[in-house]
Amino acid sequence: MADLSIDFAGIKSPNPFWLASGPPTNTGAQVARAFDMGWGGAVWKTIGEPVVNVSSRLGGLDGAGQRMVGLTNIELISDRPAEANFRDIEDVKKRFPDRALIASLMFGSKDEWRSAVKRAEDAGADGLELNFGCPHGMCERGMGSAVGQEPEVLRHITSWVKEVANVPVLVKLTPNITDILEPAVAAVEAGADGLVLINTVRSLVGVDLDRLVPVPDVAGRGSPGGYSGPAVKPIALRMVSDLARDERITVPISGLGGVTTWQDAAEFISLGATSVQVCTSVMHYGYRIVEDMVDGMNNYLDEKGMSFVRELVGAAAGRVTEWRELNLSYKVRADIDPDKCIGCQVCYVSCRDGGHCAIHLPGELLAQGHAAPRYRPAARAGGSSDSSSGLQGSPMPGPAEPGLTGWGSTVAGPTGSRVPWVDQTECVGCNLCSLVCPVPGCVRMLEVG
Amino acid sequence: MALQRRGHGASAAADVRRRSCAAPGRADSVRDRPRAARVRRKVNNSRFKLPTGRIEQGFRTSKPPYSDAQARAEARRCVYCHDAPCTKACPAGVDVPGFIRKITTGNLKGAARTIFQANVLGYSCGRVCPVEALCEGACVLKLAPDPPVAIGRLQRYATERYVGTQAGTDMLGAPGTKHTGRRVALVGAGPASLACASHLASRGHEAVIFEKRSLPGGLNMSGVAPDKLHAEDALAEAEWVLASGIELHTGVEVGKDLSWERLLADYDAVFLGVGLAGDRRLGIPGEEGPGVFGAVQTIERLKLDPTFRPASLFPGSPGGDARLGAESQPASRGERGWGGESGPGGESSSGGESGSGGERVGAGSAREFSEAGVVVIGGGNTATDVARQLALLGFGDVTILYRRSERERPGYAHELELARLAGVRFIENVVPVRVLRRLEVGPGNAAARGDRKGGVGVAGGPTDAGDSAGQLRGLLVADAEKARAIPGTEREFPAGAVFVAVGQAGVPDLIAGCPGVESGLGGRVKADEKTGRTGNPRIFAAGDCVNGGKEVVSAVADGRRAAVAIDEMLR
Repeated sequence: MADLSIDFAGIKSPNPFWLASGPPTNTGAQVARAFDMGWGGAVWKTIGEPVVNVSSRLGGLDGAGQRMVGLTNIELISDRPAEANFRDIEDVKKRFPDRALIASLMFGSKDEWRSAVKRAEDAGADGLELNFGCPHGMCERGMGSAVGQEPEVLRHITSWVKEVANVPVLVKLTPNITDILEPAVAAVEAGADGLVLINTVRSLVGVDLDRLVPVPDVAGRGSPGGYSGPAVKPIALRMVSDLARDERITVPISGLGGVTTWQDAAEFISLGATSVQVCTSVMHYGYRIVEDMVDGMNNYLDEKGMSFVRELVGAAAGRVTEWRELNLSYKVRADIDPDKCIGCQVCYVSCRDGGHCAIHLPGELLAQGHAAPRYRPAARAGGSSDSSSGLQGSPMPGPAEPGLTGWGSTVAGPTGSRVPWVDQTECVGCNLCSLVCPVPGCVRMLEVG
Repeated sequence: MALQRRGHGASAAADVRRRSCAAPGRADSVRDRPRAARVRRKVNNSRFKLPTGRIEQGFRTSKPPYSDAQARAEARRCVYCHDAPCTKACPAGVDVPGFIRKITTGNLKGAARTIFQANVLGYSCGRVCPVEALCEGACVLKLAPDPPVAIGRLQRYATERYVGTQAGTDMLGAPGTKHTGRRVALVGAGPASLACASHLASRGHEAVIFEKRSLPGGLNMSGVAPDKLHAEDALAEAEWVLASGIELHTGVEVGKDLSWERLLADYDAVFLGVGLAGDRRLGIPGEEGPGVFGAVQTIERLKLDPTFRPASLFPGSPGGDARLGAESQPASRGERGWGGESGPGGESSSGGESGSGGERVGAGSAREFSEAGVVVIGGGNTATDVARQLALLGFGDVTILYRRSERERPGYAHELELARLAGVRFIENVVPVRVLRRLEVGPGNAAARGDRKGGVGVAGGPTDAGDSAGQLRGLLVADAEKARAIPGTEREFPAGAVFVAVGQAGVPDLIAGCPGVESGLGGRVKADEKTGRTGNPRIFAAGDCVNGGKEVVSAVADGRRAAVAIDEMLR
């Protein structure tokens, strides 16, 4: 059993799994139930001047076979009075002193910010999260992502808070910006003790085709909202790694955006996050998912021989580089395992129509100068032997070149076979066939030089 | 559509239209109801009615309809092969990955149209096709290895909401097709004719079907095992196909009520979709007596005859008739029989009548007689069909006897497996040589056999006279080598009833009366496989009467091919 506990800028937590600010942290009763189930921390639903909300608020994107791979919301910050939230924080913190309880705040004026900081600290919050991220509603009033998109404004508000705060101050960033480093660096320079990202991605999740109104529908109208869930994870991972790789970012990172499983969490942590936050998948499946997150993370760390989760932090970050730094002489080629292939030929279609036309069916004519599997690269240049066999329409394998045995196992297949084969001179090693193949391990990408 | 205003087709079409217009937007509210119930409801409003109280109504399908969620989940399993082996394996060439993809996107109308374009009886084929040996048997997922995509059930799902509706009828036609003025007569209203007529109508020809029976649908309606498809669903489907602009005359037997010459004079082309002539006989002594039944005929009675009860298969049962279509035999009650054991004769049957719980039909009565054991003869799919139905009805001891080895069976292996799962026993390399009966108690019989007075239930040995009279007590069977009895291996095999499933008889008489048409193997119509052309250039044929009895989907495919050839000839 590895030690999952973390110290995030002085905020202690028994594990790196925190509930993100949102509906799952709306009330004390909810957060207490979540802590009962094992969550290490929670960021309270953003407290601000009480707002009104609309109905309806959410719209989902379904994937094949799975509901809500993406979720867009147009809900605003907490519509409960600020004082009610602070009292709840006080109660929960007393009951769960070992958990990380962070108050998320969003206010307008300097005075409002400062009095809220004081009140949150009085309630016992372990830290403060400044919500500079919401891309809908609040930004129209100059808050939320309107702040996150203006590094100078962000810097001012952060320093207002830092001047009075006694607990760590975390700044939550919006992804709705070209360069995430600009607001991140501004926050760090203004004294932020940690960075939280990403907030939701401004989006329009769909159109009701029966009524021709956007989703979610508010009396026949819709408005862009904030996108979350598994679909945004790649965006979040990229931005976390951007920060982790920059030497100006000297504070810990709390990563979020589509975290659903322990693997998702491990990916965020390996790219540089110290804690991860979860909202959408709890909205989908409930607090109970934390049990497997803790269990799965433990098993993973054990398998990796890591005793502390902090050993994983940033372990993969150094492998993320600029494109220009990639090794251009590295080559892989697709290799179809004829024993595993079920003959659906989906790889053939995708390569033909959406790839580099390198996969062929048994018996298909070989283009002049091209090589079927096990054709000698030397003969390819001369063209004589290859082109003659190609004209005869015979992609049957020739003698394997020593050293090419790795990809030489892709054979044209016997007569009547449905197993496609890869023209090794046409294959650019793009991976597409291995991504569409329905059989695990059937298409392998083999290194050839 | 001008064609629909004529004859019976017009009224059926109007019915369909009226029904589908009566409740616009109802599709959503009934979405989750069992589909079969909806098909039945439609046929109740239709021109053709089936009586209630039929045994088949108690059978449930082993492949129930999918809910929307089930169908989408199953459809998503399809990997959408480039060069679909399932489509290649389909005799009708249905674009399987195409229609399944449309299910995943919710384009059910497109899915149904894709199926109907290749197979107008796509609904019932989705239910009765031997998919294990056709499309699903070719599914690449089996190599994964995973279960194949349930193509048959998906095809049912995609089609069932359109069968019997105007929206579905519209899919069968080709909008804007001009009437050619050409007329084609089709003999028989089974799958081959329905497919041929539908295609001809969509090409602007006038299609007129003559059916000697009172109901359309052919064997798809009367001959499909009740646990696969009920007659009313097949009937509703046939009626819906007819509503696409096909004229139907029932109760007209060509050759008797209407001469072939008249037909050829009145129509530009004639299509024969007459099927075959019913159960072939074994050709052994005693076969003609009570207790021996044809398999196809038995299935038809299960499906269509409201007076039929399984108990009536046994001569000793009250109200039992001797054999299908024959007069009742006098019942001998309270006797010993069937190999000396206490038989299920009088006592049991009277118990069945007055028994507790008011059980009076179906399996309840069948159980009373199950001790007798029933025997099915044959190695084909009709043998396994009838055996499975009997086992499902509650007959405890159902045995299939086949004269060759299991490996040589012409029937599908998966069908035998289904029968076995229902409790059926299969014995290979055994051939019946004689039907055994008890001697009748009666002055005539006693006098004829002075040495065997009142020879009831003589132990051992067959009765050597009165082969076609007296109660069935079993078969004399012999081991078989290459389907021939091995002398000296004869033995008794007790049976309360025997069902003969050794193929269907040909129609040589019909062919003889049909000018220019030649008779082929086994009294079948000699016709070109690809075009249905016969010896008479204006007569075409397809379906069972040509192929000797195959799947519904084969008849549909061949009927459609013949329609293409007819259309080419008429242009």
